[in-house]
Amino acid sequence: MRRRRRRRASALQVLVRTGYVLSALLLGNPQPTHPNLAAQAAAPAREGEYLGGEACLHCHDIRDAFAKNPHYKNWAEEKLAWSERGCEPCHGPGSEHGHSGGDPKKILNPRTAGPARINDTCLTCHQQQEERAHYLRSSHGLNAVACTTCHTIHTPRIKPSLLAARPPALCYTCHEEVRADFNQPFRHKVNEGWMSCTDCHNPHGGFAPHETRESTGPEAVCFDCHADKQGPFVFEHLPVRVEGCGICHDVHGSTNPRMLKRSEIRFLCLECHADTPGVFGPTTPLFHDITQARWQHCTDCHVNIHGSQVSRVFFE
Amino acid sequence: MMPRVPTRALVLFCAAGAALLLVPAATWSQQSRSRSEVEFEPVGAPAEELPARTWGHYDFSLALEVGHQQAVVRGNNDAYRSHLNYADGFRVFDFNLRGKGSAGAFFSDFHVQGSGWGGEPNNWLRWGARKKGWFDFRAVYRRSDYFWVFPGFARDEHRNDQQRRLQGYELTLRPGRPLRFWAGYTRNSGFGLALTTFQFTFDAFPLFEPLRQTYDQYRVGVGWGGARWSGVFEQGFRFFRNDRHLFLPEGLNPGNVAGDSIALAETLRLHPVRGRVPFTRLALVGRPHSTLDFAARLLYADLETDATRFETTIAQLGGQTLRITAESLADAGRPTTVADGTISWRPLSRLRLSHAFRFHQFHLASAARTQSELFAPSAGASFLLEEDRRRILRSESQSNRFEGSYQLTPGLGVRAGLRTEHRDIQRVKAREGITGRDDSVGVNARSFLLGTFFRTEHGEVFFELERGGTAGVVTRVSPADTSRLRLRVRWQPMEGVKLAANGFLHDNRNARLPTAQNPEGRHSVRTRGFLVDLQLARFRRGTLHLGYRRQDITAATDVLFFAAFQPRAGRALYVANDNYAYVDVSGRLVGNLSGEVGYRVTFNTGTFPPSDPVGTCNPLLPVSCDNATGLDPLGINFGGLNHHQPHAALRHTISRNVVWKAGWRWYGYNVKQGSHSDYKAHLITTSLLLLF
Repeated sequence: MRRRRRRRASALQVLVRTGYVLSALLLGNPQPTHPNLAAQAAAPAREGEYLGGEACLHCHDIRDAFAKNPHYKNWAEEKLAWSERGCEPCHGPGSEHGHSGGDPKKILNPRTAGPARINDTCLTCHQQQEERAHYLRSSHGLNAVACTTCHTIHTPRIKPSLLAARPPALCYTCHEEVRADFNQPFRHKVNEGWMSCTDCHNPHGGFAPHETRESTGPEAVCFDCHADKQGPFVFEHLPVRVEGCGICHDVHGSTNPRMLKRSEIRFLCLECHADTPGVFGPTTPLFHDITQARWQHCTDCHVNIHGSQVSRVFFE
Repeated sequence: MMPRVPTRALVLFCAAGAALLLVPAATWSQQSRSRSEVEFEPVGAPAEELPARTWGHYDFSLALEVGHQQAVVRGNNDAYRSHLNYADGFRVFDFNLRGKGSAGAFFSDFHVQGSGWGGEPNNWLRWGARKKGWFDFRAVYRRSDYFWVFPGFARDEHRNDQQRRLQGYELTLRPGRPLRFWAGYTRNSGFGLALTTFQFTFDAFPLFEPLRQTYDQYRVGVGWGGARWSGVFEQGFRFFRNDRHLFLPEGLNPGNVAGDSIALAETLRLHPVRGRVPFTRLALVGRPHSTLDFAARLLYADLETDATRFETTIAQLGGQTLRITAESLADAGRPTTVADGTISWRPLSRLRLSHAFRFHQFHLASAARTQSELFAPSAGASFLLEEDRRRILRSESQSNRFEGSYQLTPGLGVRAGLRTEHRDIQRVKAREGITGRDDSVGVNARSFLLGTFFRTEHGEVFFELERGGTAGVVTRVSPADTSRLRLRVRWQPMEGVKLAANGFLHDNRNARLPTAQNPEGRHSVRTRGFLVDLQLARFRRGTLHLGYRRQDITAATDVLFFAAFQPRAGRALYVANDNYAYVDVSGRLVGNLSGEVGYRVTFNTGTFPPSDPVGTCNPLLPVSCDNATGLDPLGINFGGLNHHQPHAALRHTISRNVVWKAGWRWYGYNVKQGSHSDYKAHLITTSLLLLF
């Protein structure tokens, strides 16, 4: 019996491995994925424009450092033209730079090039990745923040994403005001390293406001962790669903308990439940004497304020 | 009994801090230091540049920081635990094991990283391995001890002592190749105890609620990348399970309202909830022409839950014993669709035009049937109540964003745009045998966008302005009239010196919506502030970083409220004047000994608890006590808080592989005008960082 099981298991393993290898063979090696690169690869070799990566190393001693870089991966692909491997896919053809004895003006130098040119260079390959497809219309892209502001291509401090520093320190470099939020007494644990800015935001941009990510398809990113608030509930508290968590909560950090936007719950609730035309929230009942302590802490009774399965006023 | 503060340790750290402040100031020089060497924020994983050791085809490096942590807390321990929850004991502060080897047979890169194990309420572990072109596996495990017993908030009636665990695993096959596949699994679970309240008549009773929640999410996907187009398809499932079980402590419970004649002898509620979320994501990204970029997505999720409830309560009411039983069956479904797309066109090298479209729709259909029976044994009477409630909600919104940007020079660009939004909500409430009540509302809003950036070799300026309205239909918080402005300036006159300033304004105001009982009917929220930040990294031995942020919030809403059963028009007011200041100095002291010292403080004034606003300017009365109108802000019975966070650390590099570290952090939480929630906490750590 055991032998049969073992045989079955090994046969299955062989089948999976064979399938994997065949798929790898059939689907082949990485192809140039960008039209510009594809066009360059298809075009006749432009001798004299591209010198080849080895030529750069005569003056720039970066082989050891760059060999550990993901961008190095194409260097050894001899089938590719030099326009697609080595230094020149990013820095442009180096013949003029080389023949001029290293004139820095004759090659793309990210330190002096404008952000638009840097971004165009990087997005030549990265634009088609879903994560980065929105960069140019994101807040960063529209404000001409260059890719090299956050990413250090040759000597990254944080290697997985070639980052210049680790979030949140990297993000605080520009978003200093958010540092203040995350030092408030009530806050998300970002400084503690438990979560990262990029857990909730896509710094490369997206469709959702504030470049936030999404959870389970179209849902708000908050439900990734706070899944118990996702519902659906028989009795939904509509602001949660329609206008989002940020209606009541300062999501980075706050001086108010539960990261609420108001220090007292009664004021937060009253802003909507106050006899306002065009607002779905009903007025508080007559017996809610809001000047008395008994009625000032709304969530004492309305416990499941995010939504309830059985109580239309969120009692349970 | 609280342990005593180790005074000698404090004196040592204060002396070290003072020395550290003085030494760099005396050694000002023109020698610059790279900004990247300075890291002010305490982040999880070590940022050490690890020396690698070769083993076979692989280069390995390991950083391990272990040590001891002592937490000394004075004041309210519950508030301390609700905020920080650091504990004493042995700690693995950080570890980071990495391996690399492009010629390796099994992987080209792997890592195991972790932080905060032992004595830390929030800890995590990340590990992964990949082989270029073959597979990429990543995993994360995070654990958080969530403690919440915060005095003064909601009368202490809601408490949590729980543990949340999040774990995720994702395997990508053929990463970076034209066709790749992935499968992922995420588990989010919560355990522990909570205290909540049970509303019965006009009293609230504390209920114990042991937490047992799990969410399991499975997903598979395929990504395809062609010459001009790439796409992603992902299918996932999330299963939700919450076994709610609430009960009352044994004995006769008088409830939270003193003086009433209600008491509960027994309450037991079993309320299991199950949920399913199948979701689909389809994305297409392409560059059909060298001047044209396109991206579109379709996201769909069909969320469903069903719940049952069985509840039994025995109450004492005015000498009578009542027994109430209730059973409920409930289910809800909410199919949700998001379709969005964008197209960007660059007709000229300096001109970019873009349009983004977003459509969001969901339908909620839900029903709950409840059967309750009230039985009074002494009177021999029983009363049966059946209730069947149904809800249908339809929400639909479309938004468009048109934007054009023009780059006048490589360092100067301007942009302008228009954002339009339309939102429709329709809600039907129905009870069995009763015609449903139908509410519906539709809102159109638009806003104009302006922006510019200016960049030189030594500085940059960003400016953004949005003016118009937003389509909030449920609350008044998203108003008819909104202005949003942000200005960022950064100036770097020389290497190692950076001055930054931000200014921000976010004003919301609704049109006056008077009613007979609320004749003013206004609502406005104003948030304004600025920040200045200075970084000096030009000391021979150290760096200095200091800054200040000011933020003023004033929210005023004319409301209708009830006092002694009489309707009254009044104002809900929230005023917060927040100040946050920070200074950090770090540098080398002597030899291989370096250190840092810093101070962060939040000091606020405003309508903060426990100063429930009363006095000359009761915010519930229509008196203008808004601090932005120029009236005397001291008229408001202001509260506020101070939150101090000084810290100091020493670091001694003993050898290439061993570094000794010691740290002190102090947390002082102080609510002005008296509070039971104040605390002072010292956190003293000592550790060895071992690099292999």
